[in-house]
Amino acid sequence: MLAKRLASILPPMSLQEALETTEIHSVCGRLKENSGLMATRPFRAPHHSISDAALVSGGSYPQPGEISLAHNGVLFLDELPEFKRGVLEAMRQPLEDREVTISRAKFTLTYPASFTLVAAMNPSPSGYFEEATSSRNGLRSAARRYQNSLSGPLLDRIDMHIEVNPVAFEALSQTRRGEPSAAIRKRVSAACECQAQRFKDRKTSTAMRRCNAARPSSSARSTEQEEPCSKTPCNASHSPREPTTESSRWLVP
Amino acid sequence: MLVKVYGGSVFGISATMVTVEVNIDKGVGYFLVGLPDNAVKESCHRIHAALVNLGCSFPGRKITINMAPADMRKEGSAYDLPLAIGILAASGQLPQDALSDYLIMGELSLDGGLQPIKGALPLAIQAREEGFKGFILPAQNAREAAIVDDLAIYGLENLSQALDFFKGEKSQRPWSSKCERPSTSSETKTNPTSPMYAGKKTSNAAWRSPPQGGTTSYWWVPLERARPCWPSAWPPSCRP
Repeated sequence: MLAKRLASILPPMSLQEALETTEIHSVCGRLKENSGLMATRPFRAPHHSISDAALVSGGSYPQPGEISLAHNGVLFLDELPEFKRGVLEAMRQPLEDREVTISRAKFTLTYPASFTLVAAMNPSPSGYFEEATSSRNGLRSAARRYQNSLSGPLLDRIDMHIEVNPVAFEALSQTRRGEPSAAIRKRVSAACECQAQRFKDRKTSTAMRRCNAARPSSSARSTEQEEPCSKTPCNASHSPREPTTESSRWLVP
Repeated sequence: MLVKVYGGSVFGISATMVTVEVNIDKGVGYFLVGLPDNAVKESCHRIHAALVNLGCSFPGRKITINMAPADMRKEGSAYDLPLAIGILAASGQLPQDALSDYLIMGELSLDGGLQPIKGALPLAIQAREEGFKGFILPAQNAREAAIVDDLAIYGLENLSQALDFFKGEKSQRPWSSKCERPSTSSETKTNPTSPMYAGKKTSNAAWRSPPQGGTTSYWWVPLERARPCWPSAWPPSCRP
């Protein structure tokens, strides 16, 4: 439910983004009749039975896959371990390169695939977190097997990992309305501009790199990505200070 | 007589021009070459029915149609309209002077009506790049193609409007510049808002600071080639 609302708080598309997105949807025949430039970011949520050709693009005459249809938008993969392993691994290169190149005997096609990936999963097959930390070997190993179905390189490409705790019934049933999306969107747009200013030269600080590289699980990719992600809360508050422990908690474990 | 009509083929998310060469000579038969797929091969039946229902005659002579480049596979049913226009021009039922100025694409119904096509926007971008004066396509795709600047878009309802256009009997105006703004109500329907999640504090904290790495795109669309026509009609976020 939260993932569906992400597209409504992302900054509005620029002209270039709207043009690219409209082109892709036009080629697939997904534009409605009498519709012009797409104004809203696409949100795609394929079922976990999807094939790799449908997700990434493929077939004898490749059409844009779900990742290209989510270009400049959000691709939501619910129940991530339920996806076939080959399908998830096929996403490694597009997640890195922001495009997907399909080669056939007679031609080569490149589709853009710059999307925000949102994935959701349970910690164990039963859905209960207690199994992952249970004292019973069988339950713990089942939970570990479930989590290990996701490969390290794929997880390395995911910048933020967030644990969502159960919400008490009293909190769920309260009638107080939360903050509207329009207000959040304004803050996000301002924070994006702040981020763009910070990293306009695209250089990470040496001190930050040294700090990131010291963590045993850091790869070169995660070292590069950690600084932009860790500065996220600072951008939201327009603060020049260094990232807090709260932001570090979201980073690649 | 040999006549050339211009269409386009969508390859990936860009388009390439396809020249439809129609030659009518002595003999009998309908020969379509240039690697057409089944949908293109079936077009002769749709064209025949549409022409007969509109009161035109389908020439009973040897019709040879080449879709150049001949080594590129042609797919889809969007070639019906250029093929029909080419057949009519080659049989003398339509003047052929203005045919080279326009890109023509559209699927035909049996009653002569035009059905929407896929890829109208990349086709329009390529038409402008190639220097065509205008783009003739189904009315349902006109608004999408009108995003491209410096290209007259003629959205037609049926084949008889296309015939009138080339005969010059009724003047067709390019698609109207008065685009209405996209309605914000439809935007809120498709993008649910967040107020109901007041209880999820942890998630909301993360949501207030979503990933800001940006959507870096490696795909380029040269804006100097395809600027949207009507800045006043764009959504506010897209205005320069």
